[in-house]
Amino acid sequence: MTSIMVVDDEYDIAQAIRGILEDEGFEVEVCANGRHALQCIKEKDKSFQLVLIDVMMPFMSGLDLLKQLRNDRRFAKVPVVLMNNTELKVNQDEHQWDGFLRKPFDCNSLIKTVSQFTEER
Amino acid sequence: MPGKSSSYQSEVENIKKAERRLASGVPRLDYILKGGFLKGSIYSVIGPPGSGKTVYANQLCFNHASGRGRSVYISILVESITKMLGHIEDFTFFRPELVNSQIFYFSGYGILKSDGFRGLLTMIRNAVKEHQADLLILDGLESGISDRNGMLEFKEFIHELQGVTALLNCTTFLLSPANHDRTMPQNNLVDGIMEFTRDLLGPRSVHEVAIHKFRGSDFLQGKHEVEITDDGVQIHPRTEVQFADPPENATEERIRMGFGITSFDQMLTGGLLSGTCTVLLGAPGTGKTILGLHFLVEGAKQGQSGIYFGFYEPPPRLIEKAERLGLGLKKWVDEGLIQLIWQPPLEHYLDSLAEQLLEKLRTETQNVSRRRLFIDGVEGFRNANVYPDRASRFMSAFTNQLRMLDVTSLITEELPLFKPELDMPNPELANVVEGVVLLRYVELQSQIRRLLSIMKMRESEYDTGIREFKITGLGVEVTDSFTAEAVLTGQGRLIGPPSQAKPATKKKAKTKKKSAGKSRKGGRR
Repeated sequence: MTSIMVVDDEYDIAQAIRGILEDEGFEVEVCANGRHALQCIKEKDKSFQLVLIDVMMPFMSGLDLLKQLRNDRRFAKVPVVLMNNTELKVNQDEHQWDGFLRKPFDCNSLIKTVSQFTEER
Repeated sequence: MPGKSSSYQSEVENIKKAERRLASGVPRLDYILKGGFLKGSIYSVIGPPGSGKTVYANQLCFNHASGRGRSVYISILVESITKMLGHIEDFTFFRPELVNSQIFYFSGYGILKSDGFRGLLTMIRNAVKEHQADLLILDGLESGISDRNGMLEFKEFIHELQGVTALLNCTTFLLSPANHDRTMPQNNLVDGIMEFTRDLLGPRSVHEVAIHKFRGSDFLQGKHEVEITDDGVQIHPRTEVQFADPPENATEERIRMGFGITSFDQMLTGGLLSGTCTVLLGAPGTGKTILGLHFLVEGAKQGQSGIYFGFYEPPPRLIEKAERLGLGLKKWVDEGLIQLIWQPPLEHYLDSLAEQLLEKLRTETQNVSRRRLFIDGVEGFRNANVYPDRASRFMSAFTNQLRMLDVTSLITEELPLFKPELDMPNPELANVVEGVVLLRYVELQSQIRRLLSIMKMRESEYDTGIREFKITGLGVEVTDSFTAEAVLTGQGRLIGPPSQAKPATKKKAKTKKKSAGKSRKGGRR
């Protein structure tokens, strides 16, 4: 089963994404912020085929988490889709994300984006 | 400060005071708070759902960002920030480029759920420091109190939050969806309490705000109107509280402000005294609006600016009516000497109406002296008033402001169409104005005639006679005194041919009591 990690401080959004992706047959791990995500990665010692990260989060922003993941051997090549309420004003080459979802997005955009990165693999 | 003038010292003092305040940017809220919120303080904002708390808080953040301030907005509600931003993006204060650059939105619900208030406090501290915010909003704090996060932990959280935000000099607002009482735990601990309310008064939804507590500063007490428009929350302080202590009218050189109707101006000894308020009392169709337009046009001819503030006739119709009577209103409107302000017949806010007019009069610096105002009519204000017991205090404060601005005002008041008794619908209005002019229909010799009489004119001599007036192609024409009996009852009786005698003049006549003349059965005898 394809495993996806969703990192978002917005509880309702994170739970909604989990529900939709589980309906599509994915295994989903939800974390409320970057710190939780790193802790979860350490504890679970499992691999994820895709990571969805919200940019604006407390404790550790989505971009900081992305940086940490890219520095981790296990996550250097894992596709990352960023989510944000506004357009991103940072350089994609520098931060190396793979996809972007502008909030609010609908179910079809989510599934389409996720499929794009999970089917490729 | 030796060697410094007292004005310099007071200026320094004002700057110091301003530095201690955080301007809300919400229209007139800072006026209520005598300068804004105190920086580094913590405030509780309570109110039922839909009362405007979230709009207000966002407006605060965007206004703060306009002045280069930085805000952290933490929602503890289950509703997502994405959805909330979707709701506020149509307001004019919303600027998308400020989101995540100067205003940082986070959800605290997940942290509170997993780590309790301790975790939430850590998150707040972290976010405020990281984003160098000096304004913090916590939305939906009450929802965090549960069996797991009990009341004691909540109180401790508020105490610690006060300490943290004071150290970080971050002004904090706690938004709570409470609508019952003001005894919520945080309210004993915070520096100020602001309550938004939303009530249904008859078919009308009335939004109001009240400051219940404000440490370290005086403020305007009681409820104030709140309007939620495309611009966000607009606050209209109660007129009678705003102007509770009016300074004395400084205008000394009083002049006469005529109507341009020779015989009527003679009755008024040349016209209304400048800086006074006069009521035109009359049934529909008696000619109140036309007389008011005469007043404005005559002023314009003398180079005095005038404002028509009406509720019934839209400007094009008003101009058309005036042109038919040869008043030449259009010319003065085109030249900008007369402004026509029309309030469509919708629900209005009483203080908003007064504010609109007073702010206009205050900010217009061109030709500031000797201005004329015609309010057509006072019912528009009365219909906007949701608290009848305010009427007298409101009218007193409002007319005082007009006097202070040296505006000569004419206000129409509608009387019933077919009622012999003279019942003033707004008796309090007669007490606060200097003059009352009565326009009346009377039935004589199978004819409906219009009569005009001056019932009251403080500080001035006036003609006590009752005159007939006609509306002709040249406007209003006032004829000689009318010789009849009981004409003020509307059921007059002729007692001879019209008198050619000179009208009587009265000095500071006592106000006539309303005549309660009962009609005799059988009508005209």
